[in-house]
Amino acid sequence: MLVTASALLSPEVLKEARRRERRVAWQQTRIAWLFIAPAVIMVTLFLLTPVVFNVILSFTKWQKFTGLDQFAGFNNYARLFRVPYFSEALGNTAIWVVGAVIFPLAVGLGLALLLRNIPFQETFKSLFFLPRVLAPTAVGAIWYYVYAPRGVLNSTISGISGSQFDFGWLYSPETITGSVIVTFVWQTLGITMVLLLLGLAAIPRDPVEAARVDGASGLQIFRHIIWPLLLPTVLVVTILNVAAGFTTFDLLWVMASSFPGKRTLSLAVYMYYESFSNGAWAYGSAVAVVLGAMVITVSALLAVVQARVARNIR
Amino acid sequence: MSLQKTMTMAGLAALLSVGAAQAQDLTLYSDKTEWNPGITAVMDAAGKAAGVTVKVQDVTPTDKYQAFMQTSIAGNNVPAFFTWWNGNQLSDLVATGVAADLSANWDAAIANGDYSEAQRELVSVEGKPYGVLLNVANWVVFYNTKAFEKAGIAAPPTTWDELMADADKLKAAGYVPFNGPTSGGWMPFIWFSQLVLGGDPDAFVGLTDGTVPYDGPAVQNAFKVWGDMYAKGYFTDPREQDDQKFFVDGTAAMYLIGDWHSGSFAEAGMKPGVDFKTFLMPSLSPDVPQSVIVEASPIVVSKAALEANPELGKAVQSMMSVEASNELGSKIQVYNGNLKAAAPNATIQANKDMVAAAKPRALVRWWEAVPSQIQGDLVAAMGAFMFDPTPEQAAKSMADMQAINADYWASK
Amino acid sequence: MATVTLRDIVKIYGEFVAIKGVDLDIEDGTFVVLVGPSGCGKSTILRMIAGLETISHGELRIGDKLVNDLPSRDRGISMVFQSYALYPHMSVKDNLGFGLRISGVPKTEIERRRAEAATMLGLSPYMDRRPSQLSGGQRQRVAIGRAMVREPQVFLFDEPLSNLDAKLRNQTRIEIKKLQRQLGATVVFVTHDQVEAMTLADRIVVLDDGRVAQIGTPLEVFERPANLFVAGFMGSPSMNFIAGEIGAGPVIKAAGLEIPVPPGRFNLPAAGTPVVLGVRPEDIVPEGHGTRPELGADFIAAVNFAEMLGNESLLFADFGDTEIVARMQHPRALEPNQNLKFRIDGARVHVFDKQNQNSLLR
Ligand SMILES: Nc1ncnc2c1ncn2[C@@H]1O[C@H](COP(=O)(O)OP(=O)(O)OP(=O)(O)O)[C@@H](O)[C@H]1O
Ligand SMILES: [Mg+2]
Repeated sequence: MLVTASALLSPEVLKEARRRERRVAWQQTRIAWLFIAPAVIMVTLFLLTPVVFNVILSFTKWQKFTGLDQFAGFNNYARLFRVPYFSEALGNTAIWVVGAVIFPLAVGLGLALLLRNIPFQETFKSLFFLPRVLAPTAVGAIWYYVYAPRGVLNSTISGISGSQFDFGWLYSPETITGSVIVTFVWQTLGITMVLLLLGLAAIPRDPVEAARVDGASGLQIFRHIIWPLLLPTVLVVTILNVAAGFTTFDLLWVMASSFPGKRTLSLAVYMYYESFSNGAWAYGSAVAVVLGAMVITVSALLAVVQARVARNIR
Repeated sequence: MSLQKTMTMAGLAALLSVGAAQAQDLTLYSDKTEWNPGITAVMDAAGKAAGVTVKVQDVTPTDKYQAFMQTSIAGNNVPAFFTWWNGNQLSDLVATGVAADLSANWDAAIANGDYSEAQRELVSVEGKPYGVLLNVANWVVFYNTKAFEKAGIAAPPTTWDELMADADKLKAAGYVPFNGPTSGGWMPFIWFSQLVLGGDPDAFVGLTDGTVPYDGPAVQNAFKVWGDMYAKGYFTDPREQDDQKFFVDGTAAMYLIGDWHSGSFAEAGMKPGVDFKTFLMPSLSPDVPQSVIVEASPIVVSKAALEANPELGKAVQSMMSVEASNELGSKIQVYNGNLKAAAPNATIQANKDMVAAAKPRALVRWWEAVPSQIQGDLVAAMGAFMFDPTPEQAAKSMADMQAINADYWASK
Repeated sequence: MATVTLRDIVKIYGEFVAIKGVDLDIEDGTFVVLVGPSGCGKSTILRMIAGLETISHGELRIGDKLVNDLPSRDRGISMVFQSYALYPHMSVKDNLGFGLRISGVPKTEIERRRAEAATMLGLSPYMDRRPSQLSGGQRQRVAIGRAMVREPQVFLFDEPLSNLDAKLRNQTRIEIKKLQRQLGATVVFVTHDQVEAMTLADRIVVLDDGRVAQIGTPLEVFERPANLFVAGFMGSPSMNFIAGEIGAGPVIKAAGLEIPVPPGRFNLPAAGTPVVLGVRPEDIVPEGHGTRPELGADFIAAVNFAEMLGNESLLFADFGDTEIVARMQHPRALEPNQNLKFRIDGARVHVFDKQNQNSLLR
């Protein structure tokens, strides 16, 4: 029998080939689905159900002791803009998201680049990682005393300046958010740095050496080679920290415990306060829905960008 | 109702940190830790009368206690006894149907001469009493006698101008005139409400029923006076979390608070009637009639618990007895209004006498009078001002409070 | 100018001494090929010249300048890495242009050089792909292109042609040589391929375990290997080594045969001294194939095995205790174990000192 090349690549043959590739792909992922199934069920049961419940709640009048079966329409959502606290909390959350992304990343990257090639790297890594293993509430308690009017920070300033300094870092609307962000950075630095170190370690040595030979300076190598190759890691860290920034709660709850404007320090605090302190369950749920929607949207956008960037450097 | 039940069970079961109490072992929940010895004594006797034991369990601070009780009630896990507040707070609670109607016990107590009809009104919602009195207190200004002496103040002030003049003298003598605590999630309302009612008692009442706005002239004036006082350095550091610290350590010379607090001062080593005395807070000007805030705290009994064990009626009766009143008086120096009981200390007696003589207008405390849903938000706005007592913050606090207030009453 | 001088260069990695004192003078515009077995230190030397490895000891000069501590980018070199080392996140186009772009070469000039390199290396169709979308050979060509466009004074090539098919390899080899001539550049080129080494090199440096075994022109290295190692390494198949001893007169005795050598070619020690006799396969001539060497010795051996290569055949036969390889021109079919008569070309044999393994050539 004589088979010509053109007969081999006829449209029918190509179609059949594609179908086969797809079938094989399905057969290969089938097993994976089997393993994922329990997780999917758990997520549905323990994550999705409460979310749905929460969304339903946000359309009721439930507060304190009454109103769970009364439908409120979009009233709870409208209230977000009628009372001043939501927009304040939103503004502070925006500061948090930006601060929680930029500072750990900048400081973490600096440290990672410094630590990358030094001896005792492991020791330093553990040292910076240590705060991460403490409960956020414990971290908050420690830093509460750092910032206290007669705390470590003010004593130090007093000692240096020679005059009594008792500024209330955690009592002034101007300084409280920044102060707690500093604590957050202190706590997150370790994990950010370790992730970035892993990312740096995964960058092949070759292109860096090629760039050196190609005439690039240290800064140019960082800008043109290391940074683009590290970008997927940077974005993963960003996604983690964006989510942390949006949902920041425990540190604020502990550190701002005696600040009267505590509720507006972040959306998560506001949500918790309205639901669990104020008994405004339905309204709190509306805050939760808005917060959740924002976190999901931003994280999803970042995840898409991350995937694209990661694919581009493979 | 069944929807409510199902959703409540699903949503809140996990939140409840307290499991179902054992049938015989009843619990009284309270946010008043300092009063534990007195409450315990009362409940021991009450338990004995009904053949049960009652443990006393406290949850603090107040805002956390309120949240805790809300979840307990929503989760159908109501303790047999719990301390509460009267006014709007009590109405909200009664609306849930968890509180027992104590008419029978009150009828008996009144017949027995322990209490008056007027006192029954303090804990009644729509004519029915839902609580046993734990505390009936007058709000007065406590002052440090040594400080007044040192500042050369012979007699306590009777007008606002005298009060301000005395404040200046105290300041010159090295004292901070007023203790201005912010702790517990409620204390910021003390001076706010005092300054509103001192200028216009009707406006004060109007604030709590939605007829007077939180950014109107009465409130503006209160903030102006308050801000001036802060500017003159009349108040203690708002960051202090121990509310009475500055009064008992002699930093602050005066402390506006309910006279139930006298027991705590005594506990801290100040002798009632000797180290500290009291006077009625004057109005802001002589043409405003003198008024006084009266605070009444009830202990509420769970309807379910009472139905499950009718014997508990005897416990309630015991709680209203003169013996119970005397236990509170001797253990924690709190007066619960029993007409047969003696005042627990010289200060409380003096206050009773002062009020009897001056016949001021008695007003329900702002805390109890204001709708409970907006209570916390409003207090926070007042607290914000105490940390930043500037005209700008005053304006912002008023705007915030009015936004919250208007939103609440619009939705009614 | 761009001479490259290595003086007593040593490289240690922890306890391990990779380069054990290398001296090398590379004159301006010469094409030097480094050869040696895997792991002998070729890449290490290249990387030290490139400034990618510190120099543990010794002096490295480019031109007159001591560059031991000079960063790579100031050395005026470009390098093709054994592993290509392309920028994974950049298109082929950007890979080629990167070095020029950061050193501020005008756009039009970048475009011109890039187009030239792309055409020469057949990369034009792939300019917008990223390295991960290229075949191994294509990547290697990008790596070569990237080095070429910078037109430096010194080129370092680390096995740049190893992944190309035979045709492309020949073509690229010629292009590299042309480019080098045209630019007058100095090239240090590492390869495993004998043909590449022979055809490209002005000078070949044979390395053995971190040391220089011999430096010379391709002809020198091939015709006059300085020692057993170079003799064995250069040439394919390898030279046959046979244990022997000095006979009476200019004669080497091995496996019962007396092989005469040209008088005066060697510094021969006293008769009876054991030596190693080296004979290249092409110098063992089967009778009837090629010209019969004048000076030589005949022997008859059974052919154990024949490897047919087309224009020639390799014959494996026993010679005394050793199996030797002979090259048969214009091959013909042989019976298994067929006896053949061979003649060893006495004029072309090598003799090595058994002790120090150095050649006894005069
Ligand atoms: N970073 C290093 N640490 C330790 N030893 C190394 C290192 N780099 C190379 N070596 C060792 O140095 C020796 C020379 O390595 P090099 O890469 O120069 O060999 P090569 O001649 O290029 O080999 P090939 O032909 O296989 O590429 C080898 O034995 C190698 O194991
Ligand atoms: Mg190599």
